[in-house]
Amino acid sequence: MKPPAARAERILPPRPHSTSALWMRLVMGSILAAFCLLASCWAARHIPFLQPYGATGLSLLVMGGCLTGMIALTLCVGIGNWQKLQHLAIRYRSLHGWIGIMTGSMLSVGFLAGTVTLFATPLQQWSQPHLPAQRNIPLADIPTILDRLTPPGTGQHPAPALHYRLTLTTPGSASLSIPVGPELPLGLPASQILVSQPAPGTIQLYQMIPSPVPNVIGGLHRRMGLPLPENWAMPFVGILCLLYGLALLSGVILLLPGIWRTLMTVRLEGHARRLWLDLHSLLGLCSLPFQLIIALTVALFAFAPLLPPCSGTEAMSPPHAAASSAPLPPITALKQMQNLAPEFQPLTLDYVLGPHGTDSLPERLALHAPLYNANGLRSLPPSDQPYLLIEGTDPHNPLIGRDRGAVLMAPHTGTVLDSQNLPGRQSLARHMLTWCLALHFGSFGGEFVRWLYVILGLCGVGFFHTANKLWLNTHRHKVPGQTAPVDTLATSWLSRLSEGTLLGCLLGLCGLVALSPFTSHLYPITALKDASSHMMEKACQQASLFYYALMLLSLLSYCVLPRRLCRGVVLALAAMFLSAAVLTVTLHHTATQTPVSPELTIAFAIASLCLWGGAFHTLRPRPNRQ
Amino acid sequence: MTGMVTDPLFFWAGLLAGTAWVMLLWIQLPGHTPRPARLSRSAGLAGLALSGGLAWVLWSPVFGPVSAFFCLGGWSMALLCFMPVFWALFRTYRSHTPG
Repeated sequence: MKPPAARAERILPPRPHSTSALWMRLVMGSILAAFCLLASCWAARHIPFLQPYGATGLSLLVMGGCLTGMIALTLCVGIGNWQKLQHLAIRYRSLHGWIGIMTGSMLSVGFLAGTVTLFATPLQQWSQPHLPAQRNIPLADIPTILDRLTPPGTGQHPAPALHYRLTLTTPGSASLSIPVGPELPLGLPASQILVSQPAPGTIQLYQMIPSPVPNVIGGLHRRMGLPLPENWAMPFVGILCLLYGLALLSGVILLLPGIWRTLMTVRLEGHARRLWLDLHSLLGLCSLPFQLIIALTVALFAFAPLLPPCSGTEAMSPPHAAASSAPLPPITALKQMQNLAPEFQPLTLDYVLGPHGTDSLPERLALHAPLYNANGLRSLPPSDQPYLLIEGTDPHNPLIGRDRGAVLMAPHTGTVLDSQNLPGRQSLARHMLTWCLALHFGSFGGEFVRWLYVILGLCGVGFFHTANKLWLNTHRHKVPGQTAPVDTLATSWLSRLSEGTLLGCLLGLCGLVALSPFTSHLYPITALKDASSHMMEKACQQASLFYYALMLLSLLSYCVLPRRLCRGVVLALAAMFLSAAVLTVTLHHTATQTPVSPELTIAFAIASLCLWGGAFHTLRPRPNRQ
Repeated sequence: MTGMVTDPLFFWAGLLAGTAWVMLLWIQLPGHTPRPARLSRSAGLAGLALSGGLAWVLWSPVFGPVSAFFCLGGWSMALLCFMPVFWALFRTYRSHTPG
């Protein structure tokens, strides 16, 4: 038996914070985090050696501010006397759980929609009807065709004289299209007039209306499924990301005491709570770098539009007077591009020769484009200055956009106006920012990284789902004499809501994929003036309504029906939607004897088989279990 | 695939070396992992360094040096998330199989 003095010296574990103390620490941490953010913004604007970096410097500093804010928030909760790591972990336990249950469902919706958003461009191509066969036009013939499209002696600028797009199909040929409306990256897609050349000397025009579905899914991903306008949802998403960062860091602290015993352990047998804990710890710790970069970049996307803009000297070259001569032929522009960046592989050339919109915050709001812009306010030249935008990829360098980098040139002289987004030709600061964004979008390493991001995205969904399951299992009541804990009213409803939200999102996304082939249209037109400006905004609203209706259906069914039945039915419905999408597209392409993109068809077919399997597994009769 | 089409041999060889690296890392980590009795700690660490370096060298011409590093990181994260689950399923199946 130990003497009384020794007993008194024994280290007593501290009690967890009281609710009021925890709130006070959270408020203090939040003030510190806000201070870090504002300080980073102030530094970008007022510290002389940081000013030249402009929007790039601001973005990097905001990300640094967010990271410091997350660390400050975490430290504020844990600060105080502690002798053992376990004692520190006690302070974070309840907070970690509460943040998890409050944000887990929204984050899992964001991750699930983000996984589908990785395939936004292929999904658009997969959904669209069969395009006319004779769309490949030799680059040398493009100027002649453009002349033919321009009615002679009108004195007015017809559409193709103002803005046309060449999409390279082979090194020597391209398809020609004319956007009907204004476009911004990731904004609402504009309908296009496609030009085909059935025979030399003849031209056939088509109007192509793209599907709004990839755009709607992208919006859901950015807003984490919240049914709010993007500029309203963003502050909320930013705060959510700071809490997500706090949960990640506190989760690591919670794991530290027992990390070396149970790191790679998954115990499938025994108590369900232990299984969820093992899976949650495994997924969280193994994908921690990915989760942290997502938290930081999303915080940047969310907070950057709220901060005062930064005007740096990294803006593009001074405007050149619009030349009256003809624009540079595409072959010459591509040769100049080849000399400038040999590894860059151009995909599209956008000739904008007339007055155009500017890339500004109001313009982005109007066009429903993402509010964060890595280029600051000077993304495009002044509205009266013509430009040539060449977009493309680079297999050896990260891309600042979701799937491409870009360079701006003067269309008449080929002078480079802005090369800060050209992979391989960036300054160190811009290259660092590009890496941060590329690690969010998975825009490096080609298709391999895209599929890797699908796996990591789904791991993220699993991570948040296991977090919810773990919290619910921890908060169920243990009744003497019963082996399994019993649901309380709160855990029963939270369980229904969290599962209903996740499966509702899955159902909604599958429904949108099934809707996609029916929302893309192609029809012939006789002249450029016949092209109608399609109500793309309305189409987007209808697709969003369809998604939210399916989400509501899932939530309602989870509120009134048994959980197992709901799970099975929602999975079966999701599988049905996906199977219908695959069948529709395959049958359509078989009927028109045109090839269908195998990548997405196979992926959707496998996903629908998995969903059917899940539905049958859930709904099969189990006589020995409740 | 952007990188794979140009250098399929380097890509697949790098993928193989990267998988070996993740496997070696996994068996070195604590918890319920398969621990080959004949593989000493130092040999395991040497194998880890060699396979990691080899994977990075093989992937550098395909993706570029920095991208190769992040590709290897992403591949290891993805495999490490799944391997313990598959191992646990395998162990449970084996323990339930008579004989």
